[in-house]
Amino acid sequence: MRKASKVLTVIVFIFLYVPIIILAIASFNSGADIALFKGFTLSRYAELFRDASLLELVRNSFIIAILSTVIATILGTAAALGITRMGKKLRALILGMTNIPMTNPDIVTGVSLALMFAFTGTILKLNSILGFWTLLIAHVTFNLPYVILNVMPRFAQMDPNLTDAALDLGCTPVKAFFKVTLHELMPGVIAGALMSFTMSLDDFVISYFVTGSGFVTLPVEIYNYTKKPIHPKVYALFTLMFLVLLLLMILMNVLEARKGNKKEKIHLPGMDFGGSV
Amino acid sequence: MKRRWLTAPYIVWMLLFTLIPLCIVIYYAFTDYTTGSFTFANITGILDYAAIFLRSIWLSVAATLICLIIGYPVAYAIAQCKPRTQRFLQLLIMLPMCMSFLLRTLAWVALLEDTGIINNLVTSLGLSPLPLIRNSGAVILGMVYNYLPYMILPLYSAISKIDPRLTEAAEDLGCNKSACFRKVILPLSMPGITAGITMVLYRPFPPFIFPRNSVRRALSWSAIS
Amino acid sequence: MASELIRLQDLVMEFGKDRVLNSINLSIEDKKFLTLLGPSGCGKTTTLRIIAGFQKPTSGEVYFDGQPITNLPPYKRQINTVFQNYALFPHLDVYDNIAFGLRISKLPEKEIDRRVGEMLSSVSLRGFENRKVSSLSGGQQQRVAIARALINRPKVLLLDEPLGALDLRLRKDMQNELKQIQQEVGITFVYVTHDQEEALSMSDTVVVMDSGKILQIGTPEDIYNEPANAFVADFIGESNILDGIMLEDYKVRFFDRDFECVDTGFEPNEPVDVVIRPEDIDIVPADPSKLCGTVTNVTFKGVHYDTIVDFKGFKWLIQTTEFHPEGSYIGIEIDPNEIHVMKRSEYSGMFGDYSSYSEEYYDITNMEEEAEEGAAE
Repeated sequence: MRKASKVLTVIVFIFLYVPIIILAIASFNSGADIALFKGFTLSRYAELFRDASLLELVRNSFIIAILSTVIATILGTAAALGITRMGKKLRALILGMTNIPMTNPDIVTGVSLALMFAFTGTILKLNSILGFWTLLIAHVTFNLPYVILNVMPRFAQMDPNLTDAALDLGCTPVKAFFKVTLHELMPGVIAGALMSFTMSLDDFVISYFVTGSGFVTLPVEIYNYTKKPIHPKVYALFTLMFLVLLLLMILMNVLEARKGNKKEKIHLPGMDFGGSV
Repeated sequence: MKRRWLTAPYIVWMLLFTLIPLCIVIYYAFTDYTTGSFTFANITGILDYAAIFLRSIWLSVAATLICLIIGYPVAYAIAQCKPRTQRFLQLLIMLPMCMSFLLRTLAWVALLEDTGIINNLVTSLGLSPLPLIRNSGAVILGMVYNYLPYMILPLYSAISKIDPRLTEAAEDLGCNKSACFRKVILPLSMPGITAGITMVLYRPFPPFIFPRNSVRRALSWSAIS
Repeated sequence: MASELIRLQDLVMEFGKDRVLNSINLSIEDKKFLTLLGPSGCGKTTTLRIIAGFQKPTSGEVYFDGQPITNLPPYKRQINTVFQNYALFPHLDVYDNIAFGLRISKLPEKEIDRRVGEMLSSVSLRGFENRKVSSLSGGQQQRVAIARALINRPKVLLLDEPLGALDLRLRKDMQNELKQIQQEVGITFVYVTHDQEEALSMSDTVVVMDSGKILQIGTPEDIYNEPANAFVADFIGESNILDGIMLEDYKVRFFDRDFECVDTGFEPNEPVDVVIRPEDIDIVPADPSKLCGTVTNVTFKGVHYDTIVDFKGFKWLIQTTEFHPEGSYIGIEIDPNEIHVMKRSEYSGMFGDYSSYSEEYYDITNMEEEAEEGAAE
């Protein structure tokens, strides 16, 4: 059983990385057809670095992804904290509302937000308010439900006495949250933030509708590309982005391991419950 | 308790940026877009697309089920690793999703299409190309690929929180492995299953947003189907 | 001399329509060991949580050292709690768990280190500093929980069924240890349990509660020897509870016989409940002048025999050191001192009959109680 699930896990990871590998190989392809490998070249990368406008798009994408993730994570975790203290009816109502952006196709979310921004623009007598701020608002909006859906189950599983114990030992409610509750919620918060960041970095449907020409993100621009053949330097760009993110992850993991080792001076064997199920 | 007020900013945000925009859309749904008068024409017009709707629903359900079936053992396996490995794998699962959806789809098309990587191999062996794309299977594959991480993460989050002593207790009480799973682990991972299904099932695949006549590589899974 | 530290005045607690506490009045003396005893759902844990400050009563006041603290949040109270499932912080090791309170009050690290060290020795957990709490046994987790609370030098320590999860042997050891700790640190302990034996052996004062009300407050001896009503008599130890009539002072009638007793202060011919503890009954040879019955069941209990005797359809539990075989016809004698007469209450007629007695009887009721406890959470 356990062995089978391990094998499956490896297969799933390979499955998830198939397109990435294809893109990475394509970035070194001297031919333009992604399906046919003509020969090895690094010229795609050279072309990429000569294209300042493309790099700016990457920067825009990351700014929006990071900002919207931070805002959605804080807002969403706070909301989840409150929702758990609510009565059944109010709670169902709010969770129902949380599901709206998820049940709506992206295109509906995008169009509805665009319409509202257009209205607001008319009221404020502005030519176009579409741009950085509207894009940020839209991204926070579609990220919020993911944070809440990831954090809420964590709350349900948490021993409510833990927070009481922190209060009992002299923590103010705020301190108790940061010293104890947050640690318990962390896996959910991280999962929520991770999903938010990913979706934000990847979104083009909603972004397409709510952003103006002043602030364009990478996926939106790539969508525009689909009307003409994609230049292989884009493959190079994504391969690089992938490598940077991967390195960042590995670095984080190593740093964490170092910190952990310092702490576990007397690590006793057999303490890990990890493999005992 | 005062803690309830922490939800207030969220509620205000959702009212402003979800409910009000939705009302505007509903308003437009019932108005004629040239004259601005009240009409049902737009709603009845939906019926033309009924077949497409039904098809998307069944495809969504199928993809969600597959995601759950594949995702659960994976989430379970991740939850068995050392805590640090767990966090790393969690990131590793999401990482491909950071890459543009369009490009990932493009890569799959390149792999599966009639003159794609797999069929190039097949034809070089002297066989006729396989119909790998523009069918329901390909759509489901695409959906599973794109939504699997969103299923695995909440599942993992719930499973990792289950006290391992509980399964020991169940085994101690005479449960064999499968009974232990059905009676203890599965019920306890229910919050994760619900969250995962919500995230995957309710994310309708947006096939219709790709122009059907998109050049050379139709990026959509179902553009022609 | 003993002075009052905490006073609960007219505490009422309602959750929706459920009234969990019904006008609780209680004075807790300084440096004493007080136990709230009662079946699950009697309101004892709610009372404890109100003292700790986790819950605000619907009405009523809590006084600490004469000051009202009803609205004071838990972190401003000089009270610490040992939780039922310990509620140790899973992300911290043993040392950091114990140091938690001191770090919050921003003591210098040196001082913290010294005090944690002392605390670890006094709960015999030296060498466990860097262990994860999840790797500890139940008993060890228990000690960490006590150390984590006591290190803050509270004036009151609240303990919510802290021994519930431990096995019988460990439980006995911890009972002694807790009592010892209480005497050493010399602070007030408020202890919540549904185990009457635990309550009797550890406490200075026992408070018996049921359905949100206090039924009796007293020393363990008082509670055992002079139960206030049929519920207390039944809950604390074994008792035979009979319908009787108080003919006059010093004379009570049950089973159509008149018995001498030591109780006074009832109306003439007032219906009462009569309690006779099983160990206070002597078995003598059958004789028409005595109350006589047939032995229906005998169980060897180590120090004594549990003998069930049928008196005209009403079964008594009698504990004797001599063996009387099943089926034998015997008589009984009761010393007037051992006949305890109580006022009738809502509990009359509900307890004290051993008709359904079997050897497993006590164990079964105990298990049910624990199952309910689990469901109540």
